[in-house]
Amino acid sequence: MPGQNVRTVPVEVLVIGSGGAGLRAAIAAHDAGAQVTVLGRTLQGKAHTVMAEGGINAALGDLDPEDSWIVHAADTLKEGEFLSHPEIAERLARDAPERLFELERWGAVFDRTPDGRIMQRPFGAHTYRRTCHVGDRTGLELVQTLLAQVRKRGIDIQEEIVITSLLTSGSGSGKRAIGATAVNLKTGEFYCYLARAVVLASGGYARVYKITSSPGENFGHGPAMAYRAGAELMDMEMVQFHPTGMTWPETAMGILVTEAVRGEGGVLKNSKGERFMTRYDAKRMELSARDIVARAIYTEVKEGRGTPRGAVYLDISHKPAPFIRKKLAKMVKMMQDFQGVDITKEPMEIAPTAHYAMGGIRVEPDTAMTSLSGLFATGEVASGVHGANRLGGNSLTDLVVFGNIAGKAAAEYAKAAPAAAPDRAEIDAEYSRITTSFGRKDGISPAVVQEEVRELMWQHAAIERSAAGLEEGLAKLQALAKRAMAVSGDLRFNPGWLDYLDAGNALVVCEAILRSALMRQESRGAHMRTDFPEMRKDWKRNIICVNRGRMLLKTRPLPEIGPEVRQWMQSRNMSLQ
Amino acid sequence: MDAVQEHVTAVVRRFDPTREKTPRYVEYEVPYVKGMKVLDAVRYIQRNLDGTLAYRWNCREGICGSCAMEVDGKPVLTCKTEVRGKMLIEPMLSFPCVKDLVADVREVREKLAKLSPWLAPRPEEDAKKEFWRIKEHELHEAEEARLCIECYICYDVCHVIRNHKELPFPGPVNIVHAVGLDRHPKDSMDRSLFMHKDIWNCNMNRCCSSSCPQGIRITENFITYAKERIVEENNIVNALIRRVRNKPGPLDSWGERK
Repeated sequence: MPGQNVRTVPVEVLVIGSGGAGLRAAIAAHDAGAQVTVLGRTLQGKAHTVMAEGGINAALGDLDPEDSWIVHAADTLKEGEFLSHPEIAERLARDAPERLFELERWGAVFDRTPDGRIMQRPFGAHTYRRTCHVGDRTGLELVQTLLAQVRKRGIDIQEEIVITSLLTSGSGSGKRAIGATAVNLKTGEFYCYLARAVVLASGGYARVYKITSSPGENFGHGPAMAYRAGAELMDMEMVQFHPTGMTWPETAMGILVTEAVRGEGGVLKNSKGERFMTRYDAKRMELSARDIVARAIYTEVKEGRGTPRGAVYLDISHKPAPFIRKKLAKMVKMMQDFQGVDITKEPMEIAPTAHYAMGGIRVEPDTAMTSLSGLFATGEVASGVHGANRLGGNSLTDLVVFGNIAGKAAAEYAKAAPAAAPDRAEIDAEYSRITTSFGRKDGISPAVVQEEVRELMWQHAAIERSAAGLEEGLAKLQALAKRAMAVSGDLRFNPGWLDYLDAGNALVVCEAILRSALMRQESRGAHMRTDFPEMRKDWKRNIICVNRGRMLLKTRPLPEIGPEVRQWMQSRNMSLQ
Repeated sequence: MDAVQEHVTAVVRRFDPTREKTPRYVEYEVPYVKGMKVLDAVRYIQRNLDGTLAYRWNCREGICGSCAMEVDGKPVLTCKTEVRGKMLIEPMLSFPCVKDLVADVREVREKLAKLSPWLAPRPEEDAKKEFWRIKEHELHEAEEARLCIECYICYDVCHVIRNHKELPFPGPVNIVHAVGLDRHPKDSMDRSLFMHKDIWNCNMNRCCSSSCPQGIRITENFITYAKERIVEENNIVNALIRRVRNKPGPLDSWGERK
């Protein structure tokens, strides 16, 4: 029992996560007059956002003046196979130019056109060129820029604080989020942060797959904690497999090869030297939507036209070497470091990698509030923006647009929210939960649990899924969940204990993925069912997972697309389904 | 690294300063896989041999800057460094140790905070309602600074920091940030001048430049620039002209006016 050792910290708006979404939310909440504390699991500036490479979308029309927010929203909805919440997708596109403007004022250094505007590159399945970028390190630029603004405002930002659970008070419809319990890794102390509003911006869950581009921390602690606290999860089966991940050596498996390689002219070839995209999307070729390109590569390899490493070739070496070095600096360096391959001269061997969670916590379009009052969610942890397939460059836009919305709404909510007293018994129970596996003699290592989960998810719930496979995956997962885990040491900077926490959260998230994937008896976007290969109109619904002692699933209809976007799509004879 | 060798030996510095007086050096055998990096070896030890081994990592592709440690005495990004047959793995030793391979890097950011590390656009530029028009070539210097992943290898390797803890030297990484902002075409500040006393402790050994994993030419393009700005500002002729024009003098260290 922690007894008197719990340290209670009252804050007005608590932001969980110090990546792009969390930082942007903190700035917005601060500017709306709230006192803000940001808690990051990693050091400042180390979150997943820094890994984003290709760019950030905004319909600036610098290169293609015909572009507008309407076309951006239409592209987002269409390539998301109409599973995005229309209002959310429209808001994304509408707010993007303003957020970009702000980033430039805050010092973000974008690549420029010859006449000094922000350069925009073509990205897969976008009607126009609208992906603003800084070479292939756009995410790093974004985090540096936002971090500088957080520092300028003197916002309280704490690092290496691991959130273990969300705290709630009340019950039924009166239930609301009132803070979170946490462990300070540097000291090992147990904290209770009491807040009037909580913004969850803790990232996605693609790390639950064996082959992934996601960093070590993305085991889905955000969705798992929100689910345990009573918030609804949505479309958890929708995980994007990025077409181009590194395939060797083992240490580099799954690391992202940016879409910008194709955006700047890179071509895909199979082991016979064919540009196989002609068979899958002859019009858009390499710049088709990510789900289509990923499945094309998967099919080529499955049908025996892959390399011995189970990959296909991605080649940009026909472009001038200085151009490649400028536009794809990080790729040149990375391929050289890991493989000794010079991409200005040779092709890369690539295969799909689990990249992004479209699914996550369900939020309201105008406030980013979840179904749990007082809890806001933004960034990859939230759902509803990208539908069944995310467009390249839309995740960074998502962070700044909805980070801003969530931060503002949380500040407003906090002003009206009463101070809540923590339930002492709940906090004691949480301390017991997180320390229960210390010194246990009979348990297995949490690292083993993690690896088994990642293996079974890759086998049963990756690019191709079927009822039989998903059932088998679920059975394996449930067997694994029954096994006790043992951890040695204490709470002070103990990676073994973090593995334990992550494994527990991964079990919740994977159950939601498997159950949702089983329920969705169709193929749509990233979700491909071999036993239901067609997309079905009656499945244009979101799947919701909610905690009622056990995991309950239901579906939810989507509202109509707004008039401007609908008219534009109709004028182009595009289907609205 | 010999491809037929099946194991590598890692000697790891284990230390919990809250419990122990001195560090221990513990030897671990790690099965070798082709292409293995030092971070893979550390992760193998933590996940298979001792779960409590403290270390930092996140992206494993050299962009987050979390996993810097000293391997055989030299600070490197461990996710980018090949294992050796026998290697010594320590945290960055210019910093206090939190636990095992984790360094307490807070002092870097405390120093950074004194340098106004954010863009301060000139008022006339800030007032513009449209996006700025900036030519690519105007951004070269500002852009080089933005390559920084804050791994703090340059700070760890800097001999001013190593040998003269008592000096208020901002450290290479912070000079990069300050000068990078100074050289942004729309910026209005002269952060270089904030460092006008302390920067002279650097005698340009180029340790920082030669160990930066991002290849930033720290000494050449940033420290040199800051020193030149300070000299220019303190030049007697320039000072006289300023006096005639009644402009305020240069800033003292940490931003106080003389």
